[in-house]
Amino acid sequence: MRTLRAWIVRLCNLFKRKQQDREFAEEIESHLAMHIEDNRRSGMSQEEARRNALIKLGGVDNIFEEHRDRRGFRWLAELQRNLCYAARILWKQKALSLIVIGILAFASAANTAVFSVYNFLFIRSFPYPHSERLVYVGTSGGYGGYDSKSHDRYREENRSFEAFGSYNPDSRNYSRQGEARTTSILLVTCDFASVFQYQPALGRGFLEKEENPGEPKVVMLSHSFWQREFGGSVSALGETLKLDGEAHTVVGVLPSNADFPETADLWVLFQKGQGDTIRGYGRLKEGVSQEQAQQDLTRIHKSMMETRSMNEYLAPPRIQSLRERLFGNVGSTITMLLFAAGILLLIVCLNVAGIMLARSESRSQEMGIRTALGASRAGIIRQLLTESLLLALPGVLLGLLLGQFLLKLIVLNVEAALNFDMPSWVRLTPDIPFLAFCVVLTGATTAFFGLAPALQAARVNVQHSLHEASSRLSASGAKRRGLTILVVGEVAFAVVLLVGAGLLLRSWQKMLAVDPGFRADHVFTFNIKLLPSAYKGRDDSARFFERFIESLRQLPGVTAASGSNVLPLGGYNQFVFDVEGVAPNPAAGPEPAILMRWIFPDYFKTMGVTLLSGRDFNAEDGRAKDSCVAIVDQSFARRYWPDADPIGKRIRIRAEDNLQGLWRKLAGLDRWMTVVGLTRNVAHYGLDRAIEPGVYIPYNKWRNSQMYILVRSTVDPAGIVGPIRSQLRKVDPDVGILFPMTMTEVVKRSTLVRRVLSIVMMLFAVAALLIAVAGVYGVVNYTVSRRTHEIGIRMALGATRGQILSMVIGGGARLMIVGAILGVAGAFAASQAMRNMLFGITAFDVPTYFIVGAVLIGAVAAATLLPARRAANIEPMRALRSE
Amino acid sequence: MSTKTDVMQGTLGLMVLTTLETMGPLHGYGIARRIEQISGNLLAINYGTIYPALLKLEQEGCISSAWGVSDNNRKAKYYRLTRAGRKQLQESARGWEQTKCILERFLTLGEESS
Repeated sequence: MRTLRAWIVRLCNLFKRKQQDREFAEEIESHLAMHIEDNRRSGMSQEEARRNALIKLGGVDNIFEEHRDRRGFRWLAELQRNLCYAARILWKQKALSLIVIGILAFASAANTAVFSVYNFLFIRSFPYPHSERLVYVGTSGGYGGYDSKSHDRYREENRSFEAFGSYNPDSRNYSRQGEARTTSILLVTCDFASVFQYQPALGRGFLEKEENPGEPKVVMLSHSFWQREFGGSVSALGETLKLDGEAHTVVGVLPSNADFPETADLWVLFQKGQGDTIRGYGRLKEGVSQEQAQQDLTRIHKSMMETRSMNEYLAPPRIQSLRERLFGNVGSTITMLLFAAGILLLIVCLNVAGIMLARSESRSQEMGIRTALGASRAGIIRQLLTESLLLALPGVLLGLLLGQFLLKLIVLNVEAALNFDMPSWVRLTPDIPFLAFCVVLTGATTAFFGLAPALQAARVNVQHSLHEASSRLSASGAKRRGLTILVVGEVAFAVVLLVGAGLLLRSWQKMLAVDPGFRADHVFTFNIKLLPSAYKGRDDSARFFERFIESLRQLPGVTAASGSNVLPLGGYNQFVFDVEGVAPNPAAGPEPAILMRWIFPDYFKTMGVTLLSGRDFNAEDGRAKDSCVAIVDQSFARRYWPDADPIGKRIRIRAEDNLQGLWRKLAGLDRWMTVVGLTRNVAHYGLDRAIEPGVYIPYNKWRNSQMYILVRSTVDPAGIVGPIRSQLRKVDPDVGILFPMTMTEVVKRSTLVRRVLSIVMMLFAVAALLIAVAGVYGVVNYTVSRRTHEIGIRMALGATRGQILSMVIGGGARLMIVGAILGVAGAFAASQAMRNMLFGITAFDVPTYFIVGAVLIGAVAAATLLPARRAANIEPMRALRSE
Repeated sequence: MSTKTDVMQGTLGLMVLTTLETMGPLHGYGIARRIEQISGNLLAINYGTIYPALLKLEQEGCISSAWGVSDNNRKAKYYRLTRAGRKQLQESARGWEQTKCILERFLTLGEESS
């Protein structure tokens, strides 16, 4: 207790040093005065009295020193002293310090920005109570989901979940007081909210009995919808909303954070039997693992399928953790970026270490003097580390700010480009792990670039360093070696980054160069969804689309218009096909799932897809009841009829043991379809994905209440939206437009991730290269200035300027070559790890390595030319006299 | 080396506290003088060493200090025992007493056996 008090007092004393020094001096003065007076009284002379008093007191300096130590903390005082001294030293070399802080800031910005994302993806927990127990339940097929009957069985029979709910995002035409609009909804089961433990902000949640068919339909409002439409009024409860013409009663309002798994204006309760492709989330019981839950659901699934007909078969359930579900596909990208940022930081640290080393060189005399005056090795190391810290700390702090800015920029861009509403809890704000990361970053950089020079400086030989001024020729060989190693390291790491960035850039380039199979320019697209209540049958909706598309063709500037169920580069709709005359061959691997699109006439003309042979669909094909035609693409034709003309051949959707088999009959697609046309391939799954076979069928052979409309025009898409809307109003005023976009945007969006990734990597690599070049320049320049004397002698002995030039450039080139060899070895290893991020090239892409080599040659030139010219311009006489 | 100073400082602290208890508030010079007088020639200390000891005691809250005027009309810093200091003094004195007793017993035992 008393010790603690003393500590606190001593800590406070740190700030009162001057005053206390003065006070103590006064106290000693008064002590001496009293003592002298006493001595005088006992008969000493003034002189003697004073001498005696001083002797009795003891060494004044010692007392002051001891008193000072006792007052504060020795090490803190030393730190304070070191900091002041370091600040003075760094201030004296402002330009150099600023450069160091600047490059450190850049590297820390890269690291903190990437770590923010990494932290969010892998470390931070989600803002739900016990979020580690939340799991996603889908089907192993990836696309699609289970049906509502399965949901009921899963919910009733599972032994693993505390709560289990299913959902399906959808949209409805919503009208309140006359005005109609399309609104996003989430169909949910009654206990969906309890999985995430969302508590209603107002009113109540859904009840289990309300799921029974026949009960009044109920809806919950999202918080923002409630604010927007009802001004946040309590009177919203009990109101009736018309969704697709059906009355729904408002029973509650969701909390504002209920924007996961999807943002939706309304939550509508599923009624039993509704819904075919639904997915779910579950909250595991305490102590139940993901694997146990998986086995549990698989067991239920199995017993369910035993009683079902083959046609109703569903793919087995698949459980994923929340993290896997949300970030599974970007994890490796971010991890790679984190590595890249780390390498960049390493290069920066090597560079700063080089600068510090060069500086400690010029300060070796100072160190020698300090050692000679009794400074301990540890003291000098502490001093130099303090200097490093004083550089690292502002560097990292500046980097933090810069990084947050960078991050915001990236996130905004991605968000805008993806048109993607992030859930409100997607916050990349700093938190404890983030701050810990920054502290580690600062500490690690300080230690990394500060320690080597500090150790070297502490090894300083006093005799040597004091003599050094007179023996500049012989000294510093070790130091130059140290610098050389650092620079070679910089070059090697920069090469790794350059190759990595080059490979990604080349992949991106390759992706952009891919012929998508369609012409995206001048095509405008949007989605239309028809109300089942207004358009009962397939024929009704077909008639609507026929009329609407025909009316679009009349618009000025429009050269073609059509429609399709999915757009290229998005959406899956796969079936396995039987081909007449071609027996299934299980030995050749599983039959490919084939993309099936239903389209309106003129689709190929509108999308700019080349029809290679045969004909396009016409209106008759759509209306024909008892026959069906199809158009296949090259990839399909090549697989099934490699040597024959596909026109006239027949294909049929296979009655696979899946749910689609049931629909086949309903859709009237259980009969053979005759191939009437052959088109070019379209890169449907992404420009950087393999092309898979595809089939087109006429539009009204399938559900067609929701379609993408496509318009090719000679005018700017922005100018055509207005006329399109007015045409739509003429055909049906109750229908709205969803997701309006140009096809160019669709393509751009599909390349976005690759673009951002390669740009960020390129940024890192260019920065790394610049820093490495600066490092090489530094070493070469240093060497030249160290060897001025020697060069002078050489020139005096008859060396030509050309020889001197090549000697200096050769020195720089050697550094680069050794660094490059090491770097290429590292890059080989690194590119193996990023193999699955490459597209269209191998990890040993020759052009990439070639370009990196060319860039390095340019870099050598940039780094060595100036010092080399300086060396060549040395005048022998002056150089020899300069010593 | 350092342990020796510590021991010294410990005993010095106790001497300062006893001095202040018997003499009342006193300045550093006076305390040093008094300790020298009491101990006679047995303990020859530099007067200066009293000051770090005073500072330590003050930081621990055993004594407090204030500027005052001496008998000879001189400005001096006076130290005064605090309540915590009095308590500390009692505890330390008891401790020393015990140590002394134990040591005495050992020493007399040594005499008897020899």
